Amino acid sequence: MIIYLLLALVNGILIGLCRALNGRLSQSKGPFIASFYNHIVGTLILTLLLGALITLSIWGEFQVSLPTSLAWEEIPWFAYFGGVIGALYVAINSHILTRIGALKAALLVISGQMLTSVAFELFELSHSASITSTLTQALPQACGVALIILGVYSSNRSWHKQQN
Amino acid sequence: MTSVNLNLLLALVGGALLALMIKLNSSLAALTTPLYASWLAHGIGASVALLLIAVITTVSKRDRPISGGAAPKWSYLGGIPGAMVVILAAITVNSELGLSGTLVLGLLGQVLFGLLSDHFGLFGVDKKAISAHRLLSIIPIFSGASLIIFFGRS
Repeated sequence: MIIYLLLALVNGILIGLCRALNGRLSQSKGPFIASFYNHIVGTLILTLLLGALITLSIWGEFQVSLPTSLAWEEIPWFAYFGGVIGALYVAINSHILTRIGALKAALLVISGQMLTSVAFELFELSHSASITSTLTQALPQACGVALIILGVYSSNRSWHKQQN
Repeated sequence: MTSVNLNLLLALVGGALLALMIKLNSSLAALTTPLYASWLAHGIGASVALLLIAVITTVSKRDRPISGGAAPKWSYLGGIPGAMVVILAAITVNSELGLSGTLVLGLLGQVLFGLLSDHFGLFGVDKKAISAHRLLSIIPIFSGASLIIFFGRS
């Protein structure tokens, strides 16, 4: 259990490291070039990894789904847009990182992410037959939204105080 | 009435895009595997970024920021930790931590990293020492995010 705890924590640190490196590159080369290198290096690493796993799988050493066994025709067109959004997201994140600092960048990106995922959930709820997402779920989530808005508001205020 | 700083607003928009990206990528992962989905998303992302560079350099003749000097070699390697995140997440989501535990600990890791890299002024950010005010600023957003994750539907 403790090893998984550490792994999950390290994962967050890696996310921070990824953004910090892109932010530094963006300082010298601009946010879109930073986004490009982030994605091309990631593509190379994942190609090597997938290649290695597929080779091991063919030798029978390891079990991994081969590209031919996947249901490619069932994938809706919009599912491919994650990469398009990703290119923009990395550019924005790289642009702001060194301008507002690493902690503030992390906190505000988390805030935007959380508020949006609550909005997605509300949208899905309003389109589902059972409106029985109970009060025990809705109430803590509403508190969460309120806390985040409070945090974002005060970070905007403290930003202005530091500038003046 | 204080105005809203544009970069803070951009950071929020970035977070919103991240949520959308995760949603789209996980629908891709559900029909393939997390590894194939990430590989495709990275490949498409690289192509789109290249396209954006082409458009911007044509429109404004420059995508060259003001400061920064030469880029250190290590700054090109952001894609390595980025790609490792997918693999580690696949491991921890399938452990006792589940999706919620993975997400909350991931947020904690991001916040700790931000706090420390600001403190030491690493990776080109301005040095900002850890202070009571900085620690306090974490509390509402981190606890709010944890409530949303633990009481969410997924």
